[in-house]
Amino acid sequence: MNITTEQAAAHAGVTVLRLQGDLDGSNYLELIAASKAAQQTGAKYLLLDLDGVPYMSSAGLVALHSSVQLLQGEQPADPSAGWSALKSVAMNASSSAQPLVKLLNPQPRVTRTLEMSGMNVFFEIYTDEAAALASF
Amino acid sequence: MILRVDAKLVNLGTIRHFIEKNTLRLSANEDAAYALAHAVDECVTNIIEHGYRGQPGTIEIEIDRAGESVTIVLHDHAPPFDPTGVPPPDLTRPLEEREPGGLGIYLTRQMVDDWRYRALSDGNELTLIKQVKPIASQS
Repeated sequence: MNITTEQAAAHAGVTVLRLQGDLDGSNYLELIAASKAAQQTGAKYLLLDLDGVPYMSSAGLVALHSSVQLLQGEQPADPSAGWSALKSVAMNASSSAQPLVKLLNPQPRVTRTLEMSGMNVFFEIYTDEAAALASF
Repeated sequence: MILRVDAKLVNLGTIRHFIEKNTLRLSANEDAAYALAHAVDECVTNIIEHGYRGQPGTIEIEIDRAGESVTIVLHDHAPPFDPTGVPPPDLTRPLEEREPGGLGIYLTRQMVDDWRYRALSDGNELTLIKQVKPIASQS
């Protein structure tokens, strides 16, 4: 997993994290760490570019949830929390998409994983980067 | 076909590649091969994190085809744990009201047609089964 961090020049407070590689139990903590670093350096919103992620397991779902928690100023839940992590997202988001972390260009299999878990409901998903940035 | 690996998360990519490559050799289609690779990833992650709990160990993965099914058997030597006995979430309830636990197990259930657990004297055996098209109809 390779993660690059970019500040969105025309959108204050928005950081773009571009992920390359499979997102699984071996590396999901790297995404949590990158989200935490972004939050600590002033990011108020995150756009996660998933175009380079061909595979995501439940560990990746937990990392997405943890990124939301960090942007909310909370400590991430236990990474092994599973459904309780989703429960927390749902409660925080009042059963609708939360505005802090958005997703760009997830590949079909990653989208399928999001849908199977029900987490697609809690993330706005974009296929156009300019539109995604303008939405914050 | 058998793969024996150390129970380390860093081996997940190798395991997925082994599953996809060999299930395709057994005439499973790409969607079935991907589903099995994902299911095995979730099961192996649980074995490493909740079975071995960071202790050294091994996992053996065997793939075979029986009729119109591909079967994958996972052997480990961690303390007994039956993931098939974890109750599924009540999907009729809103997400925020579901009981916690077993996200990887939930996804596994979505990606296989059947799975069976057997406690062994020295560990666990978990068999994942997925229906595939008859070989004759895939040409």
